[in-house]
Amino acid sequence: MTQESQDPGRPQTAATRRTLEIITAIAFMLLGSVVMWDAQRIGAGWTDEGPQSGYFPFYIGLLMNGASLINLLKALRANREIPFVSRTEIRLVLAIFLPSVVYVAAMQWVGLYVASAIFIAVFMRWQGKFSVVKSGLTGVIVSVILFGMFEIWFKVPLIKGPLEAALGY
Amino acid sequence: MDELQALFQGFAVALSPVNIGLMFLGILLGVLIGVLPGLGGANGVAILLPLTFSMNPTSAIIMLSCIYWGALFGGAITSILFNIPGEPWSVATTFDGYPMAQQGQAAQALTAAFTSSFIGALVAVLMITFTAPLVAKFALKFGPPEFFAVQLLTFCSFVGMNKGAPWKTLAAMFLGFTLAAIGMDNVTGQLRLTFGFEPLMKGFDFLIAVIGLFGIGEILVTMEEGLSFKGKSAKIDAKVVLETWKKLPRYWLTYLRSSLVGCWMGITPGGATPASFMGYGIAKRFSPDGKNFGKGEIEGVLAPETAAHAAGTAALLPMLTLGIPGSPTAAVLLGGLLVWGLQPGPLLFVEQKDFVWGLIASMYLGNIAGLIVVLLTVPWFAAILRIPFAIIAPVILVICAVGAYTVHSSMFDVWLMLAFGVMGYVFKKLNYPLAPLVLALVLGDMAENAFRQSLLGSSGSLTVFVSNPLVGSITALAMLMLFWPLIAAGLAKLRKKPGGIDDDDMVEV
Repeated sequence: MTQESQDPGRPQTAATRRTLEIITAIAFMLLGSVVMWDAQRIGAGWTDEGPQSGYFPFYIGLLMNGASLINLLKALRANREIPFVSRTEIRLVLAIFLPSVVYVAAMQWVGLYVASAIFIAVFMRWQGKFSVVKSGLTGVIVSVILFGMFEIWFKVPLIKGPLEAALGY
Repeated sequence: MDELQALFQGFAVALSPVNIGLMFLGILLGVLIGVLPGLGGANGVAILLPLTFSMNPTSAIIMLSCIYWGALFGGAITSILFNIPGEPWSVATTFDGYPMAQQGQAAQALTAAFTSSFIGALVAVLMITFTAPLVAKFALKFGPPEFFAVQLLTFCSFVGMNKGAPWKTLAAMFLGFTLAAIGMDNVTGQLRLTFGFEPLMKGFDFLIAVIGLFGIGEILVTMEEGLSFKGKSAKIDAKVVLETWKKLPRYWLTYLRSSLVGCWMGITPGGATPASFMGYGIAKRFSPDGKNFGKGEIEGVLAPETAAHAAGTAALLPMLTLGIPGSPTAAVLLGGLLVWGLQPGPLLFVEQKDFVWGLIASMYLGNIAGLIVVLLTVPWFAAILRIPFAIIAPVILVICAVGAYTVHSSMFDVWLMLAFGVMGYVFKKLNYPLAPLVLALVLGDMAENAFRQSLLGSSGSLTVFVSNPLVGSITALAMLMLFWPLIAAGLAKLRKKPGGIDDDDMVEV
């Protein structure tokens, strides 16, 4: 990533806005090309029965490429100094996002309720500096409320793990 | 006066004890959603939608639409007390609302905001009551070309109404259409863009996209600003409310202007957010106290609130009559109608009279209930905002994950939600608008079907979209909206002295 603003007074930039604009525009164009290619594959033309399955998506992909090309050209001309996100900011964003990824992964193994309780407790202790007891209790209470609402009240089963199985659910 | 008779029947439907209970529950949940960052009208309704699949449709839509009213009310609380807009449409409310709170007039500002929200909604509901049946009757004559033209108008309006970057609006919109196309083509049965990957065969559920884009995306944006909230406390008593109410009739003209702006922006899919800014801007220009705006002028609170609530309510008119939602939340509600087996559109007024008029009646009742609830419970909701974000953030994330999982009981959806969250974060920061993306995702299949059927009728000629005066004028209007940024730029250039070279539309706000 680019780092242009290095003077001590300003917060350090983790990525410039221009970089992100370019990445986004290129991602759009890649997707647009995939859409057009897939539309060609299944037929983007006209038959006796009317338009083929790829007819509409083909033009959607084409127009998406066109719009994104202009976005890309604009981004290339854009100011290189404007930050997209500073280092402090991206650290905070990752502080919630990375645990969320672990949380969703853990859900498959220990079930949603246990994963949620741990996720809330760990985040409170780590980022909020709450006491272990407070953090743990909040996590457990939220999970118990969710359990009561979904499993018992609305009868909508959520993903469960070994603990719920041991409790007979 | 068929409408009035139908409306009274609607009241009879809406006034059952169960429905009134759901109404208050919906309002409370809605205010809570409006107050908490990361939970908004659109994804709040999206998360709760799966819970209503087993309810009867009328009760379900009453509860869900009340969540929407509640969220519209709730946005004002955080704007005024914390200077943090809980919802995008309450940004303009912070301009004068927060200064009022700093001067110790929080209660007056809140009363004015809630009352104005109520008035804006009331005007919009009255408009819906009397024009919806006419629009529906008119739309019964529509064939596929007309429907496609109206959808074209909807999407072109996004380009014309959005002040930001038109090319980004277009890119986001086509992304929505692309996501809608994934899965089985419902005409030929062909699989599109699935690449043999099984979870994609069912297609993307827009609920997952809404929860990810709006919910997770918002949490990530909010995290950037750090973990602390500081705010004013609020107590509202009857005396302040009555005193504020006494002051409000003076601003009748502001109310009228804001309501009209709101209704217009709601029907065309401009949405509540631009409506609130326009309401504020117009009031500022016309008010004798215009120069005091931004320093704590009560008129600066009531103008954007009236417009936002009128727009939010009016957005349901095109959804009910044409099946084309005017806002992301209306789009989620429309998705709900489809799940309950109701086909939104003009036929709804013929085939599902009880449902339609029950919903319209509940708009009146829901907004009265909303006004009462928010006036009574403000201190309580203000206290919720004092809960540190280190608790709120993971809890909201858990709620979003639960919401995403319950849609199809699929873990793939939860992963998808996280991916949409990152997308929402980046899009928000780069000013790619999310509303056209969501609307295109919801309407994609319908638009494509209308397009194909029109072309079938004309054996492939695009002239079908200008083949009669009705469809021709809708298409022409759509083109006008589409090229509006260019037209506006051209007009501005003409007005300026000739010879000056200025940048085209490089303004990236």
